[in-house]
Amino acid sequence: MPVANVDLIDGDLRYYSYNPASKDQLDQISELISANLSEPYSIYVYWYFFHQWPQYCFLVSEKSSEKILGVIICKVGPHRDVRMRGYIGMLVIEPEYRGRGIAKKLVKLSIEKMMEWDHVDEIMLETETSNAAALQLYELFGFLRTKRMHRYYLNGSDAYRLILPVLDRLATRIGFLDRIVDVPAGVV
Amino acid sequence: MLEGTRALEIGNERLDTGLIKLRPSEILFDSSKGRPMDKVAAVMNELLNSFMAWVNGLALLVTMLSCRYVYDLLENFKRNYKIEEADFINTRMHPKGYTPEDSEESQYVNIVLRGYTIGLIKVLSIFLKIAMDVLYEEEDITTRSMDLNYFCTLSVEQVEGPLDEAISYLEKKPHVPFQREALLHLMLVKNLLKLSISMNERVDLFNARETLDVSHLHESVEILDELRTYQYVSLPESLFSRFVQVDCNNRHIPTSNVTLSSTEAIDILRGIVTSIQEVLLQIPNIQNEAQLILYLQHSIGEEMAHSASAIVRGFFQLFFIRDDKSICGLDETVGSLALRSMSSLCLVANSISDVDSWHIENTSDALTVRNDCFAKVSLLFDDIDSAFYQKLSVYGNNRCRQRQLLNRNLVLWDSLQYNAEVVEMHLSEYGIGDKLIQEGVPDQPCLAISSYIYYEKLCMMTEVVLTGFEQDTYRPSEAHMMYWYASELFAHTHQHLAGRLKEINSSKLKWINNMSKKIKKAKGPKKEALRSTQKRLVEEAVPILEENLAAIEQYLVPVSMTQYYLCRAVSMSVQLLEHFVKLPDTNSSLATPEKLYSLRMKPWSSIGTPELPPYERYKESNNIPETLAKYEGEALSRMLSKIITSVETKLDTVKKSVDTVMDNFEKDEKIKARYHFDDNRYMKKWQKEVVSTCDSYLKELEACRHFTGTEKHRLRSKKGHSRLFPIYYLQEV
Repeated sequence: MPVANVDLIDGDLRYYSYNPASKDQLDQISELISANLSEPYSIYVYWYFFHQWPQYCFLVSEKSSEKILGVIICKVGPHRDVRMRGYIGMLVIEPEYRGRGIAKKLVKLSIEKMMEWDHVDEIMLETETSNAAALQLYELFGFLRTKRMHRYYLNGSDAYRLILPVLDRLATRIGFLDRIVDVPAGVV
Repeated sequence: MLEGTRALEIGNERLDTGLIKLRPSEILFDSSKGRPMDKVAAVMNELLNSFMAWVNGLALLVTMLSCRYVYDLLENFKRNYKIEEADFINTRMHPKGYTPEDSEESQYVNIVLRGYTIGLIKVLSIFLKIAMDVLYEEEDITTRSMDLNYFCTLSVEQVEGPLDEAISYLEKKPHVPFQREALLHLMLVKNLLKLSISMNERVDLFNARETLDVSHLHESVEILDELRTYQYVSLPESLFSRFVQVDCNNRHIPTSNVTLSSTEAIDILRGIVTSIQEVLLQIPNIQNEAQLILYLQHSIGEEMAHSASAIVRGFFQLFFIRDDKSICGLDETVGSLALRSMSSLCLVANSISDVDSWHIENTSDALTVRNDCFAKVSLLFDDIDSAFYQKLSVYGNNRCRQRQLLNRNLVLWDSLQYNAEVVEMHLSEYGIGDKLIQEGVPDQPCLAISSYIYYEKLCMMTEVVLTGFEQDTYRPSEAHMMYWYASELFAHTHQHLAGRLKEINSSKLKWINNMSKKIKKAKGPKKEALRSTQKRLVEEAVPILEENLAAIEQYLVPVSMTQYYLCRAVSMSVQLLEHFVKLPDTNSSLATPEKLYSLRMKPWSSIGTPELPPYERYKESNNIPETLAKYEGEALSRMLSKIITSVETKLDTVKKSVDTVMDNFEKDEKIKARYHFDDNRYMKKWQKEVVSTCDSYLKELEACRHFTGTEKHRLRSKKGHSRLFPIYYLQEV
């Protein structure tokens, strides 16, 4: 399915695709994330995501405003050459807009687009083990905690790796799958 | 992403160390300036606190290295890596050839504090080596060194000079205030430096006649306990600073300095010292391989992994498995332990491991076949060594990493089992390897090696399932499924133990007894040879076989049965609780239950035997909520009561079964000799955990009898009596 810009109205909110040409959007996104996430992300992180996967960044604003009040940043790529993995990198909603189902809608939109555009086998993310709200949100969609990672974050807290199974390939261990990525000629 | 998170970004205050604002006093801090003893003692104390903050997982840059004494000293050492050059003179502040003034206060700093700082940095370097050899970067400890050399190239003896000089200088000043505190800090460091000797101590495992010298650790604990009682004056201004983040080769983002309180630091260090002391005292007491495995599983893999510092785990790993793969530095090796492990389950005097006993049958080219079989067996034993090494290497890791390594080991042991079966079947075609002796069944190869591997694999599979509960990896709604799968695995384990493993040992016993008939029939030298073989087997193999049978019948079989019933009962209890969960239908899952089952079971999905039960079988075996949904009113109450009673019976069976195991453990001398260790602490703990878990679930079930069905509940879990068995309960919404 070809990638197309998303622009939806839901109640008084507008959900839309990130515009890579907009410096204002980039600035607003980095400010929103910097103010709400504990990990300090450099500009390179945003460049990394937006350069390769601008289509997987979705924003939320009031219908009549340009001010971004929520963002989700994702990417899609082969995982160890055998599975197509979607990854949810960041999700932030302005505190005063939380509890209105915006995060849920953004996650659902991203998942649907990753399935539609890239036929992902799985969607993965990490979250702090103490982040009950995030766990509840993702588990509602069927994400499973597949691994606990000791002192994963800079603040020393543990993380869960969460995975949503989409296609059947996911249930097979990596070593038992065929490659999905073409090997260039001459490379073993 | 991770790299991006920690990448410098010029102009961004949160990411550019060049934007750190320093006070003039931070820039102009003169480390070589004399200071009174009260200040020096305070610095020593704070240095210890910041060192422990690093041990506790923070970066050097924000802990010990943020101290100007440490940084200036290491910068100077970098000039030519000689300990004499490691002083406090800041060459950017003082001209070449500058010597600090000759006052007493100057000596407190340039002799006493220098000796202490050098000693503590060497302790840091011992810990760094442990960390870099066996621990996981950032996950256990942070080893980023900022391109400084922490005396890693110097021996302990080389750094002891300045430390000893500081001690003897201070011993001559008994009346100086805070002399006692400073001296204790110096003595502490001197004792800690001996850890490098302890790490290389050798133990004649299972035969140790002497205990190891732990006097330095004992003394360290006494010093720490005394240090705990002291108070210190304030620190010199700007002593701990972010100067280092600006000045050194720093590729990391700006971060605040961190330290610990003296109480926290002393608690952590005391914990490290006492844990290492425990390891050094306990290992020589271990009498056999079975006790060693119990010790590794419980004391190291569980208790220490939960409570001890990462440094203790690292120390243990380096102490336990040496570079040459010897165990504790002497005759025992990974390979010899693997053989002991196989022997204490089922591989006793098996002809497969005795090449001299091979009489190649069914071929005209016996020599070639013999060489081929020998090569196959050698390769198999090499593979077993490697797999056993992986098994032994798991215990010293943090619990999350242990589960990941065990998960990886499943694939390794599964393919090892397949290889072993192929080799053993191939060898049996030529009459190599023992046979099972069963009435009415013609000689079947006993497949002792494959059977051992299968048993180990089953244990690992179960451990991966159950440690998922400890790490809170399963949602409450998955709990019944995972306990059910654990019960399936325990059923396989029970069947394997009570069947083939028991049979292998008893067949060998029968075979040895049957030799008498052969001896009667034989004549001449053959008769003598058979007689001497039987004598050897009766003396060496029979006691092990009898011990193995006792262990299997009196211990391993009842334990696997107990665990089976426990997991089954908990699974059913949770299903019963699920019946009372009545929440609005918010199912927005984007994955089908079958896909979720497949993902959850992925770690076990590639295992050939036992095959993962298909989703349909899981549904059929776990249908309590569906069954109850078919009933209403009185019929529902009756059915509910019936199921509750049946689960209660299972839980009571578990409790009785635990008593039987404990009884066997106390009465059977063979079991006592093999498994009793540390006052049988592990078994007593297991008994307490299982019985308490049963009692908790009996209470939950009793509560279920009184629900009217109109309440709204949510399924929750709380800490249980065992880490592997949290208690699931209903919380009113």
